[in-house]
Amino acid sequence: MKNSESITVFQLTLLGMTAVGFNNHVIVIPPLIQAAGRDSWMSVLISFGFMLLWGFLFVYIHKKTRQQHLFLWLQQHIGKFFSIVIVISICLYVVILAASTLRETIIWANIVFLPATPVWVLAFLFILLCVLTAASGLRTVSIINVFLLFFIIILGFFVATANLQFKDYSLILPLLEKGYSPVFKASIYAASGMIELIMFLFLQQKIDAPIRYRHFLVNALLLTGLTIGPLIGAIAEFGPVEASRQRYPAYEEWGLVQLGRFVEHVDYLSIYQWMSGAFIRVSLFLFIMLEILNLKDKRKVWWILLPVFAVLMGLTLFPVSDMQSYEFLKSILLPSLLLFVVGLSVLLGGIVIMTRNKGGRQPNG
Amino acid sequence: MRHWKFMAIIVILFPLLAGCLDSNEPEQMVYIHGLGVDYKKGRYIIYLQMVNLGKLAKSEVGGGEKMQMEVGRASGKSMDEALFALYKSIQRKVFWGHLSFIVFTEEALKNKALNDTIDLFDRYRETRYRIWMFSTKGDVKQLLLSSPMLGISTALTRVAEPRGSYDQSSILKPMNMRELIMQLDEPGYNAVIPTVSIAKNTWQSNEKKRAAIQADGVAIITPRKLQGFISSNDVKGLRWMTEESKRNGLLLKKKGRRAAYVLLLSPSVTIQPEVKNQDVYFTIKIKVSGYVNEIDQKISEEFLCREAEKVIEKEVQQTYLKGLELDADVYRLSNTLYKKNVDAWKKVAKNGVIPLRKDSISVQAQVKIRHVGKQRLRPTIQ
Repeated sequence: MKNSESITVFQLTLLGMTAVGFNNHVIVIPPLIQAAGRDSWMSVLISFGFMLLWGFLFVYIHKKTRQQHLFLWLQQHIGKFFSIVIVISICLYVVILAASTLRETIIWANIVFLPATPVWVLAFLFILLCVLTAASGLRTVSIINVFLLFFIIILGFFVATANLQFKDYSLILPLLEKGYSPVFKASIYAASGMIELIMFLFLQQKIDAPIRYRHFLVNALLLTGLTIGPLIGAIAEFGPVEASRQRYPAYEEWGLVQLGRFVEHVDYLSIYQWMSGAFIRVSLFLFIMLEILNLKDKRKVWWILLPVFAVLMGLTLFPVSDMQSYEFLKSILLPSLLLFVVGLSVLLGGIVIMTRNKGGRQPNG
Repeated sequence: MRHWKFMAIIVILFPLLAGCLDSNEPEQMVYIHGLGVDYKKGRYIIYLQMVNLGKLAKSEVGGGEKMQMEVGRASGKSMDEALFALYKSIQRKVFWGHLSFIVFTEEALKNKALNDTIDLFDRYRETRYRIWMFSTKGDVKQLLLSSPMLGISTALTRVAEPRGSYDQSSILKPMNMRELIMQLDEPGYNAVIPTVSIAKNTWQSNEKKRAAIQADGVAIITPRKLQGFISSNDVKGLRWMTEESKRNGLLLKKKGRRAAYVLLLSPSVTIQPEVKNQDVYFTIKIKVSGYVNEIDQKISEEFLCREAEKVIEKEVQQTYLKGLELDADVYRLSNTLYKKNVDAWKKVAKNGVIPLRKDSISVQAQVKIRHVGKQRLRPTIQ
């Protein structure tokens, strides 16, 4: 499957760090701390264990579908109707993820930096940028990502080390003061973030070599680190109670940075991190949507992207309060997304097993 | 096709030129530097200290004109109402991001002004966690009006930048909003806020006496109420219990006469809780080392160490007992038990507080004297 549009597993991993990592870094942490407080870092470890198991299923599906385009492969094996149902549901999944990312990003900018700028201006420009990038292909997204991610990582280590002076790790003690059940409940959130690695299946035809379990392991480890770092950081800097009160714990960590007496207020750097993370994430998901639909006619791309643009605008600006949309994200959206992906991957695994026994249905035949 | 796309992007970007909706002209804003909160007859009275930013960094020029700061006063039923009453007479847009300190009066602390203030500044986008928090028993307006000596920058008063002086004489650890919130959030649920007052007779300039801000004990507060104040004489134990306290002076006596003045640096503290039946006992071990600054009698090294240990143990006990009088847990022992033995804590704690008695703590200090400065261990001139 080597062609000019293919990327390496390494580049894919970098994309995963930005696109999926954004979710784990930003969106998942507030509900995680709210649900399990001091012990929420254990939830992340639990979901890492879960991911190790799920990884076998992932690699199995990936291997048995022989890196074919998922839609085409499905059409071959279960017929057109069911494969369209599956593909449409995947499209809905990525659009919902893109919309929740956009909403979280735009509302955040509005709350902490730009109270006077109309939200729709921010949303319009941001979505436009993402749509254009998605339309220009995976290579483009991947190359931009390398540049953006480089500084995201540098800034990430900067904020983590600059704040060492404020961190009191004894705040994660005592362990399990409220027992195991909140820890398990909260691991749903951590897992709903990490399991987005299923994206790699939707992109498998674009990768120049198969993904091995060790690649998957590295990705899962990176995501675990990306979640647990700012999570423990927030607990050690603010205590679990204040951290769970904060709307944006990862951002608040930037507010603390102080180098001596005169260098402070550097939290504008978080805008770069957040915006570029969200940009790659949304662009990549929109690209996945276009890719999985397997459009033959390139002009049709815009027939898809324009309505999606409108849908994204609508969902981003949907007139419910931030409190309500956060509550929806926490109690309905994140758990159901996890359920969807688990269901989807089990279904795909089932199809793989069944078709292997039957030898597969031949196309046109 | 390409040209068309390019043009479209340019056209879309046009409206932005007229935008900059959130831009603020830095030189046209006013900057709040300090805030005083008082409470009288159901109303908050706030004092806003504004500084002239243009004069903040120019200490080397010699201070320039006299007027570096101004204080505004307004009242209202809530913090925000009081602030909006003040906005009526503020000439420019106010920027809160450089708010450095807040001083609460006794009345304000008694009436939960702390809770309201923290909520406001924790929520508002411009303000950060690093605001220093103080309490005072005196007149908060005078405190805000007192300018630092020698016309140095107003950004460097004791309350605006307490760390400088704390490094040299670590009597009371300054506390910022983040630490205060954590102390109130974590079991033990009481916070120790340093108190400041005006020293009227300590300093004098050419013409007249001048007022200066001084550290003056602590206030102990819970989320619900003010437990009370401990004066600076009774609060000395706290410095030995604070690992950040870098430099502590201690006068030692022999046979009732002064013998030496030692400086002890950065104590290391371990607190070991022990549960016997329904009671909890804490063994506090303080290890500290330092050097001698002043010798007035002939003494031995052994004497220096043992005597310093005795004084430290006494100071720690004294502050603890003062805390008990206010029904407060000055050393946050409850929190230590909570972290080390949460099951025991759950058994004995009532409303998050464990019952403490006079004999609940035992203190063991261990002092090492590293050197005696540039001289020998005897008075320089006898």
